[in-house]
Amino acid sequence: MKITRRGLLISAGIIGGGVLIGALGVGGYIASYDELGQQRAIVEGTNLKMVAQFLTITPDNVVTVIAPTTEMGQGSQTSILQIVLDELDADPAKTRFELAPADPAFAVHDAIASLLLGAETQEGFVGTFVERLVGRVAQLGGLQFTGGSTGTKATGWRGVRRAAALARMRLAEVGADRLGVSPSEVTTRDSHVVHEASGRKVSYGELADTVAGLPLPSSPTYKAPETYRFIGTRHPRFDIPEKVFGDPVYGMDVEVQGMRFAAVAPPPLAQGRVTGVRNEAAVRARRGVEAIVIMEDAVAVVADNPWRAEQAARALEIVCEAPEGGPLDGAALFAARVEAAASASGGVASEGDGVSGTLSGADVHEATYTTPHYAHAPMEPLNCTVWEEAGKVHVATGVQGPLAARNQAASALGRSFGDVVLHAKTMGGGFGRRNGLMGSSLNYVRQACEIHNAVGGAVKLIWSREAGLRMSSYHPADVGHMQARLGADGYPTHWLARQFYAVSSPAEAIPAYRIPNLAVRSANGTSALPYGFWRSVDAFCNTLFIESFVDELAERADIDPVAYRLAMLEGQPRHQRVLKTVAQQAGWKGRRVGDKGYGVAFVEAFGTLVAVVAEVSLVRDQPRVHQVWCAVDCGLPINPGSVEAQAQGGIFWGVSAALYGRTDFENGAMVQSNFHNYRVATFRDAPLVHVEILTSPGAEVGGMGEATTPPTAPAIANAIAALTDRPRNFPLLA
Amino acid sequence: MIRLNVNGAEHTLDVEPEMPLLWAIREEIGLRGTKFGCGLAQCGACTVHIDGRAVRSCVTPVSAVQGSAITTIEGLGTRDEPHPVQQAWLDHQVPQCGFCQCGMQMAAAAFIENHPNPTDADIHRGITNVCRCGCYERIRSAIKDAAAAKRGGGQ
Repeated sequence: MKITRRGLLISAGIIGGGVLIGALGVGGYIASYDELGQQRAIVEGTNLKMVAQFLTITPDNVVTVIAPTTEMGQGSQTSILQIVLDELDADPAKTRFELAPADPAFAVHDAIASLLLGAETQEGFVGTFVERLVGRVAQLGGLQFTGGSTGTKATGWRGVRRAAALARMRLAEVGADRLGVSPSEVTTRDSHVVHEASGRKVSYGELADTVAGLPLPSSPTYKAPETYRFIGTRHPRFDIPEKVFGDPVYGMDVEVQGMRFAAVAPPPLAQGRVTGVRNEAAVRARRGVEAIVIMEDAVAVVADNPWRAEQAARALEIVCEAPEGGPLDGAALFAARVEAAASASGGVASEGDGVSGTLSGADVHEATYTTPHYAHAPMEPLNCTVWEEAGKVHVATGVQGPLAARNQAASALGRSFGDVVLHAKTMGGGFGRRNGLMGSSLNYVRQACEIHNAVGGAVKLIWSREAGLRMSSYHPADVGHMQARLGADGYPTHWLARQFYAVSSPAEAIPAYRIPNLAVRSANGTSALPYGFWRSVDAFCNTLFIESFVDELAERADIDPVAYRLAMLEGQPRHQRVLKTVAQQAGWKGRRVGDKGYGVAFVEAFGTLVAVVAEVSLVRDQPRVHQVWCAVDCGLPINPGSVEAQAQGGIFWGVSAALYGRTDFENGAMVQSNFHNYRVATFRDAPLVHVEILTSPGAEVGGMGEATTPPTAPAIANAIAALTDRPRNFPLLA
Repeated sequence: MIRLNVNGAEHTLDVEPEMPLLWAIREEIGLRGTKFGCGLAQCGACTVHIDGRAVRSCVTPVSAVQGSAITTIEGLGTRDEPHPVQQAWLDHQVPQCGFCQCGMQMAAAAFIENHPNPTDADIHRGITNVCRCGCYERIRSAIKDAAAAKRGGGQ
């Protein structure tokens, strides 16, 4: 198994947690892990009867799925519902999804287990112990994130599906008993246990109370795929009508009695520390302004209307200190990264004999690629509402990691965990910006709590677009120095990648291609800017470097880039199939046809295989992407409509990142401030996108939130290289 | 005092004449379908109709639209009687995160009034709203369907 950056972080968490557990000397602590018991305790006292993890049934036979997968546009809540409809044989008219509370009982142990242990739940004595260890560590680490493309494939397919199968088995057994027949004589359908011979039936709702008091069967018998009625269909997403009709579902729309509004201004020096405000009295005197709150990383103004608060925040004259290391200088940061990558000696991953030192000689090809610090710029400006009610502090915000946000809020508020109620709202885009795994990803939650500490009452913090770009948790800039020695046949015998990482994960930069001797070294560099994850994380830069460089090698070897890749994927038929499919879709005739360039790229990421072809021409020397074809194999598409939507969205994210997203720092300040100079793709740039979904029966369910992003930018670069000089520094425009 | 007609209802507001219409709609009138996205007329999340024209409300002072008919997403259509654009958005399952989609639909609804049979190029030129989820492919299909429905329905 390849270790991902997140895998490493999580492994560190597991080891840390394991050490902690060991230090506590509590082997029994692990063995006594009882997720279902903890979840049952949460619904105790309501009419929800929890028949298995995540699955509750009321006496009137309504099934409510309570799972920790947040909604940021990816639609996995609907996919999880589809899984339940089939595996539990639930009534589609009476089955709902509810986001789980921010509580350790709903930590996403399946997401972590899927990264560390694989798609299938480990069974048996040892397997169960390992699963429980992962569960305990997920809880101790407060890991309840939605990210890493784990919502459907891990929480849904691994966790909820298993629970649904176990619950169905127990319901059938208890139902048969209630009907006075043997379990082999009953079937389950539309939330009923049915005795087919007599036509008599009993509803799940009538059985739920009994089942909720029983342990689950020890291992599941899953339904046969050919019996699925919902899995594999383009089931309409249940969250779409509310978004079409403008219902107030986002954090931005939260309304609390007596609420005031806060706006913030970051200090003029990027990442600087606020020391004071020169014109406090003048700002305080503006209409509607109630208070000024000085924090370390920003100054807030609290007013009776968000516009008044924002206008006042813009009028602030903030005094600040430069960040440690002095004012940021974009050119110097860039040079330092290039240098650090060149001498990379941190983490090492290798295959074959590896590569010692660097490669040199006439048969060696080399290239260096760079990417900037990107800000995510989700459409919903970050916001967070804090108020007190009945002795508790309530926090409402859109966040990918509700439990981390609750912990962050408790810490910032100086309150106990139990005193804080976290309301995780529908997000107007996540893309990793609100992941909760890194402190910087929750800076808006912390600020809202600090403002609440200062002014009390109900207060909603709304960041301006400018604040969002300047206080982001940036996808870290990267550098890839790539070298390869070509054999007589034109294919690489040696491959060396030296990269800069804010966190080391060299193993993830190993290509899927057959290359006899290979090494990846990372610089283990530190970032001058707070860094986080964005859509596709490391796969973004890694794939950009690998797929650009492979294309250069094919060009040097004078071999067609599709044929070149296919040859290096010999023996991997699933991989080859997506490449062949996309070539067919695009009517591939080679790198250039007339004034159009064609570029191909491939990736295996998040358990999914993707190949894309981009069609590009140059308009006044600037690239214009006309079409993108995409073949995607995610094993079993739970909802092909959502798979297609995510494939399209991931491609547009890649188009945007190829063309735009530069962050520059001059005289210590960030140059970009809003969409006029931090451009993102719009219809002006939007290619026609053609997605073909392939299935691989029996293969693992692959993640779809991110997988099509990584190959898009290199496919565009490869197409441009067919027409003019190859671009190696990204983004290409703006 | 500022007087606004929003979705057919009259509102009298004690706000500054330069307050952007967006914030008057959201916080003074309490209609939260119209979204703040940038404050600079760049992204279009705040798009509303002023006398049938698509306008970015985040840079439109309330004083400039007194006496005009203002329509927001809440006035475009309802679940029982969706606007052709909303029906097409449902049919094509357009929204992902959805935050831009109220403004996107308002832009599309005004656009198809002037482009009864839009081409891809018309859409690429005429719709300048930002969608970070990248729903452009479905938006394009939905706009064409909505325009066709409007032509066919004789609305």
